[in-house]
Amino acid sequence: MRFFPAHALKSALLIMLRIPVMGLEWYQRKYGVKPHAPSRIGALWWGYFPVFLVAMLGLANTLYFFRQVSSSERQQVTSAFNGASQDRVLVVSREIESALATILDIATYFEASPQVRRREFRKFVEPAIKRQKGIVALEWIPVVKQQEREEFENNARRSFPPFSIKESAESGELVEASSHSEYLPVLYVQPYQQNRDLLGLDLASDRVISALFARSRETRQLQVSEPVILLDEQAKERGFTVSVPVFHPENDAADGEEEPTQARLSPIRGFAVGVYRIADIVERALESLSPAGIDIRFFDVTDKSGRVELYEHGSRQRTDADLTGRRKPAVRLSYVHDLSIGGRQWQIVCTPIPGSYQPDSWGGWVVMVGGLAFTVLLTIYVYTLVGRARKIRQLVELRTAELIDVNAALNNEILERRAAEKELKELNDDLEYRVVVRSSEAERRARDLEQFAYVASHDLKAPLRAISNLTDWISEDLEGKLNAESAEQLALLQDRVQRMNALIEGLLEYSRVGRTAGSDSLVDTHELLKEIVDSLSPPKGFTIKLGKELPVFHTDRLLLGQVFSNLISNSLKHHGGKKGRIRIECRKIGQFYEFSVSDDGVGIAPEYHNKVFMIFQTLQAKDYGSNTGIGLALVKKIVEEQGGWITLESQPGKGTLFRFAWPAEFNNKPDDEDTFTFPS
Amino acid sequence: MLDSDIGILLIEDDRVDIMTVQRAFRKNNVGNPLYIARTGVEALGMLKGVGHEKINPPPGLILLDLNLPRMSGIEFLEKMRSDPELRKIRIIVLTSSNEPRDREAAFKYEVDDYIVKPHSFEEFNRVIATVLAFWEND
Repeated sequence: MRFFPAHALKSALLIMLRIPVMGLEWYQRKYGVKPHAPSRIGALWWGYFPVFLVAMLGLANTLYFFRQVSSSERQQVTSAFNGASQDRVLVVSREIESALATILDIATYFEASPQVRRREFRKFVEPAIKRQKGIVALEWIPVVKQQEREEFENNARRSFPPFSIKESAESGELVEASSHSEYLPVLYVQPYQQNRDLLGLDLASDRVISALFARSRETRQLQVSEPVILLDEQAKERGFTVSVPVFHPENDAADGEEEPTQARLSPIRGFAVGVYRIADIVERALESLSPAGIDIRFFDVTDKSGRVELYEHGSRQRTDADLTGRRKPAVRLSYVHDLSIGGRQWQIVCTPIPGSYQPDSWGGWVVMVGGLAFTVLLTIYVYTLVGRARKIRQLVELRTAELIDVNAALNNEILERRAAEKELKELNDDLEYRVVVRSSEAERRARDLEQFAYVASHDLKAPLRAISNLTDWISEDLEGKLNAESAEQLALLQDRVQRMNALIEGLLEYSRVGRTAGSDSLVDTHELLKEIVDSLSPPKGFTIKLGKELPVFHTDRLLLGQVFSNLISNSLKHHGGKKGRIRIECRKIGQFYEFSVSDDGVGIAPEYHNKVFMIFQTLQAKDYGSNTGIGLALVKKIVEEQGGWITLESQPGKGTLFRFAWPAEFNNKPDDEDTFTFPS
Repeated sequence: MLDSDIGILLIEDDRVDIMTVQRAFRKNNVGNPLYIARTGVEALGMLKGVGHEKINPPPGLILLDLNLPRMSGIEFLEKMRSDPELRKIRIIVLTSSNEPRDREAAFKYEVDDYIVKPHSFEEFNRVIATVLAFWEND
C-alpha cells in the first residue's frame, strides 16, 4: 500500500514525458516532416516502452497480491479472534444470566410462599451456592415499617435470638438502628458464616443499595447495582448486587386477575438480593473454554461521566512477565459487546494478548519479495530482449545500408560494363563498317580498273586504228610517188602503231584476268599444247618437245592456254639463238599439276628474276618485235588467280626454266557478273 | 541475190571508220547505196522517217558500232528488236570492243555477227568482203 503513491507518481511522470514526444510525432505526421533525428527520443521511448510496461505491471501485480494476501490473513485472524471473543462473551453472559436467574428464583419462591422460614430459605439457596461460583451472599430483605418493627424483631428472634435491626454508626460499629419510617433489614443470608454480620443490618442506610432498591421498587423488575467494592478478607474486589422486588399477593377479591395496573399496585414485601463477585463468575464461565490468548475486560458504562471497570480477565496464556508489560498496544484488534443487565449497561471488551492473533505477515512478504524479484528478472529479461532486438535492428539497418551501397556499386559496375560493351560494339561495328568500306573500296577500284580497260579498248584503240588505216591509205595512194626515206618512215609509223595496239591488247587481257568467269571443260593438255605451238609457228631451227605425262583434266582451257602460249612465246622471243629446244613437262604434286617450260636460251641473270614478272618490264630494246612486257606478268597473274604459283630458275647462258603449279581440279570462282548463254 | 536497190545502213561516229567502210565498199565494187548515220538516234529517225528522210526501201543490213554518242549500240539494238516494223532487219556489230560483256549483250539481241574491227585496213577489207558475200548468199 505504501508503494502505491510512488508507482502512481512514476506513471504520471512517464505520461508527462510521453506527451511532448507524441505532440512532436503528430506535428511531423501532419506537416510531413520526416521523423528522423527529432523523433530519436520517441523511438528510444517506444523501443523501451515494453520494459517499462512489464516493470509497471509486475510492480502493480506484486502490490495487489501483497495486499490481497495480507488482508486475507488479517481477515482470517480477525474472524478467528472475533469467533473466540464471541464464544467468551457468550459463556460469560450465560453465567451472568444464570446468576440472575438464581435471584429471580428466590423472588419467585417468596412470592409463592407467604411464609418462608430461615431453614427453608437455606435449603432453597443451597444448591445454587454449590453450583455457582461468585456468590458472595444471597439475602432476603423484607420491607419493615416503623410500626411493624417490634413485631418483626420479635418474630425474627424466634429463629435467631440475637436479631435486631442495626445500622452502621459513625465509628463503623454496628449499633441498634435509630427510628426510621421504614427499614430494610437483612433477614436471611446465605452462606451464613461469612455474612453473619449482615443479619439485621438496615440496608436503607447504604447509599448504593437503597438506590438499587428504589429502582427495583419503581420498575418492579430485576435491577443490578453499580459496581461495588467487596470487602473481603483476601482482596478488594469488584462485585455487583442484584435485587428482585417481591410484592404482597394481589387482593384476595381480585385473585386471578392477571392485569396489574398502576392504580392497583400491590405494596412491596421485600427484596431478593444476590451479591456476586464478578471475577468468579467470569473465571468459572471461561473454564469451559480453552485458553485463546484473549484479554477480557468488563466495564459498567451506564454513567455518562465515565466507565467503571468491573473486572479484567488476563488471558490464561499470559505469563507473569506479560502481565507486567501488558499495556503494549500491539494490535488493533478488539471485540466489544454491549450487555444490558438489570438497568445497567455493561461493556465487554476483548483484546488479544501480544503475540496472539498476529497475522502471519510472512505470506504477504514472501509474495512481495517473490513478485518483486520476478518483476525485476522479467524486466531485465525484457530489457535484454528489447536491447537485443534493437541491436539486431541496428545490425539489420547497417547491413541493409551496406547492401544498398554494394547494390549501388554493382549497378554502377553493370552500367559501366554495359557502356564498355556498347563502346566495344560500336568499335566493332565501326571496324566492320570500315572493312565493308575498304572492301567496297577495293571492289570500286577493281571496277574502276575494268572501266579503264573498257575505255582503253574502245577509245585508245579507235584512234590508233584510224591512224593505221590513214597511214595505209596514204602509202597506198602515194605508191610510187614517195621517195625511199618517206616510205620507210611510213613503215616505221605503221610498226609503232602496231606496237601500240599490241600494248593495249596486252593491257586489256591482263586486266581481264580474274574478271571473267572461268569455264570448265575437259582439257587434253597435250592437244592444247600442240594447237598453241601451231598458232605460234615457231621459227625454223626451234624444236618444242612435249612430255609424255601431260594430263587430261577438268580446267579452264582458255586460261591454261594463255599461260602456255605466253611462256612458250617468251622462250621463243628471248632465246637469243637461231636454234633452240623447248621442253614442256608435267608432274603431279598433291592437288596440283606442276608444269615446267624450259629452254636452252641465254637465260636470265638472278637479279632480274623478280623483274620479269612485273608488267611492262622487258629486258630487251623496245623496237624488237612485238614484246610488250605484259606476257609474264599476265602469266603470273593467271596462275596466282587459280591458286597456284610460278617460279623461275635461270642462269645466264644456261637456259631458263619456268615452273608453275596449276590446280588439278577445276574450282569455279564465284563471279559477280551475269553469265550469258550463247545462242547455238 | 543482191538487189542493187536495197541499201546498207552504217551507224558509225568515227569518220575514219566511215571512210574505211566506204573504201572497202569501193574496193569490193559494191554498188548498193550506203546510208550513214552518226548516232543511234539519227539511225532510228532515218529508219522510221522521223526528222530524217526515210530510207526507202528499208536497208537490208545494218552495220552497227557499239560505242556511240547519246545512244549506245546496245540501246539501239534494244529499240530495234522491240519495234515490230524494224525487228527483222539484219544487224552485224562492227566494233573495236573485244569485251566478252559487249559480245554477250549483242548476241542477246540476236545480231547476225559480231566483228571486232581489224587493226589493219587489209584485214578490214577482207572482213567487209566476207560480210557482203554472206549477205549476198543469204
